[in-house]
Amino acid sequence: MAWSLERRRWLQSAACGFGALALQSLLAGSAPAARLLQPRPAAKRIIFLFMQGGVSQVDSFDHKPLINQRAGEVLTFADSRQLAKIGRPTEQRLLASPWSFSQHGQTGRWVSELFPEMAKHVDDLCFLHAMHTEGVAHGPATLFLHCGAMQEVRPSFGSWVLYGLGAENQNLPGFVSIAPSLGNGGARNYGNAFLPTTCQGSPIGAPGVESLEINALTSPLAPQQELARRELLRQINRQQVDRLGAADELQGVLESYELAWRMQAVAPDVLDLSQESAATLEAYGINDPKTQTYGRRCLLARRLCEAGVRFIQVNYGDNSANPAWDQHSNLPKHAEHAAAVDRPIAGLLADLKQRGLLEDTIVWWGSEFGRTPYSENNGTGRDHNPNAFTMWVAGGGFKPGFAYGETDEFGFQGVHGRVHMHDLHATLLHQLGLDHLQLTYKHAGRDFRLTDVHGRVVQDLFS
Amino acid sequence: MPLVSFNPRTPTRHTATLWFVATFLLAFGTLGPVQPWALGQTDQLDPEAVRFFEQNIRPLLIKHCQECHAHDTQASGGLRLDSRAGWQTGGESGPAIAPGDPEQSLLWRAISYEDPNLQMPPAGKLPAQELRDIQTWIQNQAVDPREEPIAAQPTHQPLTPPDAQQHWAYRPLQRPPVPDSETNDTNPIDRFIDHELQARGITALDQATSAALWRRLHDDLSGLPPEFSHELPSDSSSPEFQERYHAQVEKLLASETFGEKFARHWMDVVRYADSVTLRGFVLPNAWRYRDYLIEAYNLDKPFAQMIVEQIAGDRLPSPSDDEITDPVTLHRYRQALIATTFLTLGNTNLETQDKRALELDYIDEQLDVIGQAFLAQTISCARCHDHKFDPIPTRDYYALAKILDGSIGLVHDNVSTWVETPLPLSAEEEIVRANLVSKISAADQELAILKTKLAPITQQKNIRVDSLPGVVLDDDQAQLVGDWVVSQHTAPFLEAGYRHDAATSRGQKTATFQTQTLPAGKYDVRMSYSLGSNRATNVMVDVFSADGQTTLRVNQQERPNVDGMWHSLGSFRFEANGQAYVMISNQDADGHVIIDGVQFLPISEVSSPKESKQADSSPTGTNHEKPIADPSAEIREAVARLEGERRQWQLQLDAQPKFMSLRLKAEPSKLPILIRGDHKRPGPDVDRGFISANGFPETSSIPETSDGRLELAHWLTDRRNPLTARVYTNRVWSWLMGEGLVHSLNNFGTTGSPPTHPELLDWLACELIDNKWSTKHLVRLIVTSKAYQRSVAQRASESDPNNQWYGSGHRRRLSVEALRDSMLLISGELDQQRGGSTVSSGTMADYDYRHESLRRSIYQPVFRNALPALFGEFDFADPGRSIGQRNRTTIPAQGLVLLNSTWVSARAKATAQRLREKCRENSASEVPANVLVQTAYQQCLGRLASEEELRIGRDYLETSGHEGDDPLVDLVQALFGSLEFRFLE
Repeated sequence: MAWSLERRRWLQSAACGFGALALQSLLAGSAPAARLLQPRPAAKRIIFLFMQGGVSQVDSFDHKPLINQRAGEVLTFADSRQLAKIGRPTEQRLLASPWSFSQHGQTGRWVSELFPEMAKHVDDLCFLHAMHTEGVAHGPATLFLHCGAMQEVRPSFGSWVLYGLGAENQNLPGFVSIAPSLGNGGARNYGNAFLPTTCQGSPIGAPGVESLEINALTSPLAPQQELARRELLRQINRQQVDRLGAADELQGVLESYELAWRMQAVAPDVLDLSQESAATLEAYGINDPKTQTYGRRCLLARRLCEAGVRFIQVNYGDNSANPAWDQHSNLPKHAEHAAAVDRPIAGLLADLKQRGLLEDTIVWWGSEFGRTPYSENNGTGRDHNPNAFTMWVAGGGFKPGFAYGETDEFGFQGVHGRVHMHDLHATLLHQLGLDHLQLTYKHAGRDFRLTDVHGRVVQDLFS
Repeated sequence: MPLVSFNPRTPTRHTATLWFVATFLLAFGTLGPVQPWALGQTDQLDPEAVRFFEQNIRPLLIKHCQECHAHDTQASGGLRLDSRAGWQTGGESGPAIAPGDPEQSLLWRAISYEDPNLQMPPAGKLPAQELRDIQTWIQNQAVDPREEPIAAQPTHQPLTPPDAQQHWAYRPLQRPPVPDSETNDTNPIDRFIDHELQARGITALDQATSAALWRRLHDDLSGLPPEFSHELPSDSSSPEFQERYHAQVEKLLASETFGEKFARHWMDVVRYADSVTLRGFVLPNAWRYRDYLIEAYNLDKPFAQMIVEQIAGDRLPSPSDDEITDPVTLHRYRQALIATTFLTLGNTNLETQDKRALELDYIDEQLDVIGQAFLAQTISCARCHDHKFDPIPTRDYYALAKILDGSIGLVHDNVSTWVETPLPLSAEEEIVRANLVSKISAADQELAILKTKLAPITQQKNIRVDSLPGVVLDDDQAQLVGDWVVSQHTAPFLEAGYRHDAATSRGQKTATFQTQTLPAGKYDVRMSYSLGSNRATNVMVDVFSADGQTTLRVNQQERPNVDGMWHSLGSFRFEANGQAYVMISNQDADGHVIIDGVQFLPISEVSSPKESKQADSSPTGTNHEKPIADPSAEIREAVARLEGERRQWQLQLDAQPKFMSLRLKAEPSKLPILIRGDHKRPGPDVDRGFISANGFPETSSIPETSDGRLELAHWLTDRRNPLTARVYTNRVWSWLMGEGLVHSLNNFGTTGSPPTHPELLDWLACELIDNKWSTKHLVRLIVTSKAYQRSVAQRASESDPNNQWYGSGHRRRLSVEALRDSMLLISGELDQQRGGSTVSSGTMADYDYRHESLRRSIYQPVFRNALPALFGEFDFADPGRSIGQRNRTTIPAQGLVLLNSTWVSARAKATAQRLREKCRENSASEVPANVLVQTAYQQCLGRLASEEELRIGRDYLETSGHEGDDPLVDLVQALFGSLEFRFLE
């Protein structure tokens, strides 16, 4: 594609010079960004594929044959919800996985038949099988995943990244969340909280909506008229600067208009998927009604990634209180969701790899928590499990074809290589060249950081 | 590799001894001398043991533990393993090692990975050999030659309460003398300001122009731009202008727009909102508190009284039955109650499953807001440890938390909810209410009688699912787990029969009735079962709805309450594509469990009479069957009618005004100090009390019989409290002057900024107190000062780049409210109606809410998931936390929304139309472009256009005409986007 590298360079160079200066003045008054750990960090940006609601690890990537062998048996588990409510373990009945597992790739990784396309990429993925997190309910756990806090209002991961690294491309928002859910924390999940407003995430599109647009990005005016009005505003402002003086603050506003207009010129191009070849559309599953919605989001993510956006979240979810993957009953419904995301994600991985983008881009996949190996209330679905679940990362200096951590024989609790969400946050920041201990912001009388007083960098994951 | 931490996330279990040690340490300081009973060392160390340590243990500790547990790393959980003293003292959970006894050592418990809640290192269990080495080492008295690292002492020493007076903010408040002045300035503010300016050799600028000053005053006191007037004297220092200016100050202070402007300032501080983020629940009565604030500011209610009402309005003595007949007394009483909504507006995560943890988070949020709003103290820092900078020990935190724990603002459920309490009623309202209550109870009695008559004649054997309204699922459609036996033994039942669990395999059988196609809305969920004496009396039924899981127990020996067939499980909310199912289980059942069917019957959500009438037509779920010869038809009709009436009365009863409030708990709080803020780790008891650094009172003054909130309010407003008046005075100053005398409005602690003019701050604070805490008095003083009226510097002055000495005016940007309200006022669209709820009726969640109202911004619902247009871009205060000073950002999104959004375009169109009409009033003929441009400048910027500006505007109007488009709209929108519209001189 002619687009890719050349376009990418052009977009980035357009960002230097004036853009960088503008940002300086726009950010005037805020604290300087944190020091980089090393001059050339492993990764420059993150694509986070958020599977809202809780993918079941024991039905996807964490193969536990014992569950099916002993399905129906009643065993005692320290169920997180019951533990929070009544403070003791309870009896639960193992629920068989409806999907069979097989081994894939050179590494022989086990993947269930839910994800046949992703299975082809296991040699590029780095699995974390013993993730654990905070929050038993969606709201708290989703906020924790994004902001490192369940109750307090804190900046989201992408805002911290943008605060720490600044934007790579001044003509686009540096932090984008594609089709974010309004539920379970809503805007807080891409909010800047007390960080400068420049760090806030920009939503593009919404769940259940096909169109992918940025608010007020396009002018309702005819192009000629719009240009004329720009010039009118410039002239009016020039007269006013003569009256008011050229204080920095006012200069900043004038620059922000110029920036807005450049964004108006560049962004629609980035958002325009029609420039892609038929083969690309096919690879992302955009020709198939089942996969087209998530496929378009994934393709947009690649384009934003090329254009130098720092943090791109690609959401698969909805606005309900029991989002997408939340199969408390009717576990087989997982297959529907898997079918919607499997091909687009595989398409994205292949595309990034082929374009050389996977080298300095981290792709991060997963949910706010996992699910239990036993059925909820002895029914037909699985409850939430924050004790153990699988996430994977790829690219950005993570070991390809690697699996870290192990859960017990039922996939209920991590036994080795447990990685807490705070730890993963610290590790991801590290790959971006940011020290989670140094990336602080002073607010309400003290320094805050994404990982609060926790977090450790999991060095074993780095290649 | 990382290392052992007694992870504060995971509660630990302790022996009694360890508990004692932990609590002792907490009470007397964790970095005290080594506790003698923890010592296992002698002066003479066994050389063999030292060798073992050096060879086997030291490398292991460095490798696995010290990344997190060393003085120069995080000392996670307070535990250091880089010296002997480190593990002897231990962390928050007490000493890490009991020499000679691995089983009694927390370290051993953690690394042995036997306790699921305490497992270290976090990355995984140590290799077996290393574990054996540690075990051996502990068994052999844990000989450890390492001394305390030199740098282990904390480098930063926080202030302690006895030393608090070293910091300016905690010193007693005294009125300082007003500096002398050579000129005969009557306003003492200028004496203080000029004194500092002279001392620093800064020359003050002149008064702003009359147009600029006029606009500034109107924005500051009303939030709306002034009407353009040709008659305004152009010289702002002239006596004519000053006279008009003073008169206008009084006029604006007396106008109701003053309360609308100032209440919004305070709403930032108290994180006001009309919904919570999670699930977007609308708080339907929050607006009463907003209206309380507007009224309080308009009445110039003493701020001390506002504090008392906000903290403890419900704890003030309530008026007697006689007194309450006086409408004024009743109104005051209601307002004081409503003020306590202040305590309930946190952005609470109602879903948190550990409900005690939720309550303590709720209290923490209250303390955070109380601390910042009234005292500018970051109290919540002291929840887990003594404040690292300010003299606020954890003991003070829990002394305050214990007061707040005397009440609760939550009703617990899977998803908890907030508390709403009916407001006291007037005598007439009370009569109406009593009448409704008695009508409802009479109807209930009559219905019971009618239904017993009806029951024996409902003798149809099997009822068809498709004869019933709503969504009905038969047991044949249920997903069954375990063996369920089909039966037709006892009629009536749905379809071909029902099933029972044969009273076997308790806890192993479930039936799930799930519907995939339920439209979103509220439903009465019912189950049917056939009656019998062998039935279980405690059938476990779980309803999964949009609000989570609700567990109920149903007695199947009791006749179902609707038609002898249906048992109502209650009303539930369901979302499109959300979970909607009922699960019946035989867990713990004491008899046969019957499953026959489940019905989801829609109920009208809205209380408007028209819609509830529709709901009335299907109250029992059976009136759709119309068997002509049914002898029960008449009775059924009577039941339907009566139930309809009853529902109406209930709706009227429910519509009585309520307010968001707290409930006093029946039992006094027993909350102790919590170690690391973890409620599963109680520490020593603490008495209720206040911040000790304030220096008074010396002993707790809360009587046993009181929950303490009223005492807290009185402590806050006590003249001796050095913080409250200073903090509020500073806010009022910043609201008018653009910057606080203390820049950190919410932080007067040691990490905040010191006051630039400490004497002025204290003088004004005393002035506030001595004038009955009158906000308007302060406002009047400030806006009539010269300091307020100065012009804005064209460029930052070199001697005072931040203008902290007020030699010139501060440039101010219009708040988003003023920006929005100004456009609406100029376009002639502003709806100036005041007060009341503005949420569209029937709104249950705030998602995608359409803010269509054209009322002032303060009346737009503050929806945490859906802010009105412009609010997100223009630095509206984050409604999740207390905000002292809003962000001031300049981002491209602001330009985009001003130029491209449909909202602003609509205002520009309306303005253009209005401008044309205005110009035509004055001339019958075609309006010249010059006049249009001049009028646009007058209306939008409140001043005349210059020659050059006239030319620019005229050129545009004359040359930029596009077919069908009005260039005047473009001009107006460009003016809305111009610097002068967005900034005040």
